[in-house]
Amino acid sequence: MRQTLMTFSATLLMMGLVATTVLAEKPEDNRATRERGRVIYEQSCLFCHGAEGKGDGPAGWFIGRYSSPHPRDFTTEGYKLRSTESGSLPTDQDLFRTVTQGIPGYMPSFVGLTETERWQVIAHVKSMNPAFKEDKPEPMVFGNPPFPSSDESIEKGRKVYLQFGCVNCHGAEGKGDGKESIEGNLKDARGLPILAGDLAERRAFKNGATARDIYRTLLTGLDGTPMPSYITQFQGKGKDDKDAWHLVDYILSLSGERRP
Amino acid sequence: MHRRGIAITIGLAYSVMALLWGPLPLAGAADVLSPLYEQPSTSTYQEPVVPKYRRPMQGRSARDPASKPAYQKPVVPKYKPPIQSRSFTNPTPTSVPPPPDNAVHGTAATAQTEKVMAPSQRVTPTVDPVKAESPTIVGRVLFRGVIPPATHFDIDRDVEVCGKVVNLQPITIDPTTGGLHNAIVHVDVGMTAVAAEVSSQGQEEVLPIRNKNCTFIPRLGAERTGSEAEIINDDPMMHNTNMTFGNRTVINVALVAGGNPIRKSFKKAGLHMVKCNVHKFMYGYRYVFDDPFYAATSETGKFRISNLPPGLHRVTVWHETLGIAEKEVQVPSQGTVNLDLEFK
Repeated sequence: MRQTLMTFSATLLMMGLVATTVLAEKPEDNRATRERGRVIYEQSCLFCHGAEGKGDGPAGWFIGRYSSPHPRDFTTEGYKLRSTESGSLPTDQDLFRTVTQGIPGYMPSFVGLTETERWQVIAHVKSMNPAFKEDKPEPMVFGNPPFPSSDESIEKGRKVYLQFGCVNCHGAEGKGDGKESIEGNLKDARGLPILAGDLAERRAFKNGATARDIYRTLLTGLDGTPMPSYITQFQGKGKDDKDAWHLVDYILSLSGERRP
Repeated sequence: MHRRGIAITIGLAYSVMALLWGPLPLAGAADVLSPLYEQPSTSTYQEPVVPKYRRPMQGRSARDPASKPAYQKPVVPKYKPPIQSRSFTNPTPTSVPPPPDNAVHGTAATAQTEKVMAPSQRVTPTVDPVKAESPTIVGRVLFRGVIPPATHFDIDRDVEVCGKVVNLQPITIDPTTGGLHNAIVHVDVGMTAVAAEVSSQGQEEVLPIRNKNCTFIPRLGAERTGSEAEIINDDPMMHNTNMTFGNRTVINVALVAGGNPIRKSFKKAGLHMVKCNVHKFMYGYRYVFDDPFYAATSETGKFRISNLPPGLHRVTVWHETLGIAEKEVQVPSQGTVNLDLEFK
């Protein structure tokens, strides 16, 4: 009897594992997927992003219609959080990361949806902009850190921070109190005033707060904001990304953290 | 033994069901049932139509690319939002009502244009032209009004390169003739097969956007879709080049002194704004067209656009502060037309 039960459980467990793996896969982007994504979208996303995905949902009455950042307008390009070059669309993985992690202070995390549901929503969101059909966004190459974090690296990062003009907007101590930010010269793509990020407040980093996230933000920039991509300094002829990792170490040190 | 067999069978059967239907019964059932609740024709996502050629300059303020109509999704009359959603409006009043389209030219003119461009009468533009024969528009853009004073900026950063004061005067004219420099002229021939054919040629141009002495060189330019901009920093300090098209970012790169140049191709036709967020007095424009029938005026305000298809065309001129001016021109199948456009 015991043996029977064990066999039964083992079979169940094994096949169950297979079933789960199959179900967790990204569903094919077909009509049924988009249709289910639309249903989830209307329950979860519409309030801020609007029925047509123009970022004009009824929540505008509460979050401020002229406040920045604005809910994403899915019908045009200009996504902030990407792993692709400046001006490109995000990859599916980028969208998945944003839906999963949310944006600290602004967009909630949607881990409450199953992975399949998140993929379905993404299929619907992508169907709002025809550019997703024309372009195949390619993620940039992100290297591994070439050295461990050290005091020396942080000090080098501080010099890079000054040299690369970070100080102009983010301020001498990274509190987002640089000259341009304080004087109100920074505008987003809609012409709405925007402030530089507080680099000492690591948990508020919109594009993620791990060392790799910060590294990615430096290379891709945040489209639609004044934060540029620093790709010409870190990749290409005669360049390497050592400075990028020094800078990552310095930015982490501003909130008392250290790259593990 | 027998019982074990039964157990395996039940286990397999359950797992197969789990595979087919998923742990939540409805998640899988929707696959089967979806044809039932999908409306037959209206609910389908319609394949986006190949974007029509838009007249780049006419009908809306050329200085305000934000007023370009966004992509309109085919209406799916399925969901009614519980609350009437209000659209956000830009705080700066942007929407300039389009001028009445046929008010000036009338429907007869439009009809004539179509007639001229009918396939049977189409004339292939001469790619290796005998100069005298290819239809050409030669002319001048004039401005005789009062030039407003220059915009004044006091500078407190990088003064050793930028200087202490910048006075920006976007209107530069030739004092004797009143010819306007840096205006962009475009002949709208309609996106006919002729234009489409021509527009596929010679798109591999690379045109520079130089950051030099805290200005973009050239500040203004007209380009073709598909051509590339090479963004270069010649200054010994950091700039960034933030090119936007409407409210979308085309590219935003930081250019630290000694960094590599970077290239970016223009994909969409329309007015692109180039800005540097570090130095707010640095800005420029790139007007991108789908066809090759454009020119920027010289310092004396002159321009020349050749290899045109004959017919009645609208000529539009854009200037960054003066806006747009239009005129309709009959282009013959041979020879040159003289045209003066004036901003008033």
